[in-house]
Amino acid sequence: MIFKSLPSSVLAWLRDTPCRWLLIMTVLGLGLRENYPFSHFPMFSSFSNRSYFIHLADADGTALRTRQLGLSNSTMKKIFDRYRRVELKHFADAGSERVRLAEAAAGQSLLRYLDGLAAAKPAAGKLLPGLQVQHVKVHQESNNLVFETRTIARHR
Amino acid sequence: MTTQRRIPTFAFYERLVMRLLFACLVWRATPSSLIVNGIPSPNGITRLVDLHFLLDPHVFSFARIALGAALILYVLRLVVWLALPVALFVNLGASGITNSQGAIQHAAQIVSLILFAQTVAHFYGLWRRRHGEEGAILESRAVWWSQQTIVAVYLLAGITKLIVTKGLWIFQARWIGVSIAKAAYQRFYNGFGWDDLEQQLAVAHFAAAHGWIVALIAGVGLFLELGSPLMLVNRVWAATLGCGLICFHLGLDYTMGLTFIYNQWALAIFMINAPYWIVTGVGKIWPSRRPATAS
Repeated sequence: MIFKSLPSSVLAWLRDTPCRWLLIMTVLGLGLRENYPFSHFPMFSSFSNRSYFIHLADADGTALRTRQLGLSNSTMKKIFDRYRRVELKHFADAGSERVRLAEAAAGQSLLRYLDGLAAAKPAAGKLLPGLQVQHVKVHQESNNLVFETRTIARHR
Repeated sequence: MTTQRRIPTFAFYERLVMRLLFACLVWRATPSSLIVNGIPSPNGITRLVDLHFLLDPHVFSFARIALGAALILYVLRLVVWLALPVALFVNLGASGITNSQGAIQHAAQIVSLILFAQTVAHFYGLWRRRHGEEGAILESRAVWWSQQTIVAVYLLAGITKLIVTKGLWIFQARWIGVSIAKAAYQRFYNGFGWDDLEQQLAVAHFAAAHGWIVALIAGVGLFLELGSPLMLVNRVWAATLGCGLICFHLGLDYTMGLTFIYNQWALAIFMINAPYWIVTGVGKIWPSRRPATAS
């Protein structure tokens, strides 16, 4: 009897609830996921014992502030991630070299993107010759954090 | 139960302060310039509308002026039917382009969503008015839907954590030290100093060494997100949980450098709503001056 009347009770509640907009926004967020302005807000929704970040360095290997190129480091990393995902599909048959090759190609794509940015921010153009993309792997090993850095791409 | 009784009402001074502060928030949250390389990875509104014309600096300057004018009209409650859509279009257009570079940022999303909610609430209210609804409810609905939007943002973040980790988010949080270290270096490479980096790395190493303590603290954050609908119960819950969430953001800022400053301001404006508590407090001291506000 309770289950029989459940659908009509739910419908009646939906009709009368003053929080209908909350329901609409929640459903839209979960359904449309990352479609600005909608989002399901996935940041920090999961954690792993390993991750990585990237940063830029000049030809001598001295670290550069990412903001000098007009974008934040996290934005640059997300752009790199997008290229990396594409390249991982590209190198699907590369076996154990797959990740290294994909990251090198993604690094070059990122440098090309930064080339394009220089048109909107001319001061950034001076930083480009010899620019390096450095990849830093962070992982947790028995309650300690370990960092490994390598250069994955250089501006030609 | 009538619509009027279901929607909490807000006094004129509350709505005025909210509009003024929210207009400032929209102005600050909307990108003031577009330093981008085209629209390489369309997202959201840029999938629906070709916004390349906004990349022209002259057009974008005009759009910023239109946004400023629209926000002034919005604060003054003049031609709101025009002001809100114009403000929404410029905000969504500029933010849509910056989010179409292959990287989605969530810092200013809450502002766009509240603006969207207020625009829909306004036109829905105009439609309801034609069907006999009392005119005064129009503005209160905009605030009420703004509050529900803020709750939706936190509730979604909480639900997503449970979906992605199949309910094991708190157990995974023992690895939060890796994320804190990553965020610390990313902030450092944005141009912050060594002191900030050292302080945040110390937190990261502590988190790595004491994972379960950090997981417990993270659990409080998840509880706040999932409990955010309680903010809609009444003003006391809204202010209490609003303060709790701001403290949560301040904690994230200290440990990971994640300010989410627009979220904090949205909570302060629409949930904590200091003017109400100040006026109510004054009204308790001098009862004759107590304003005749609603729930």
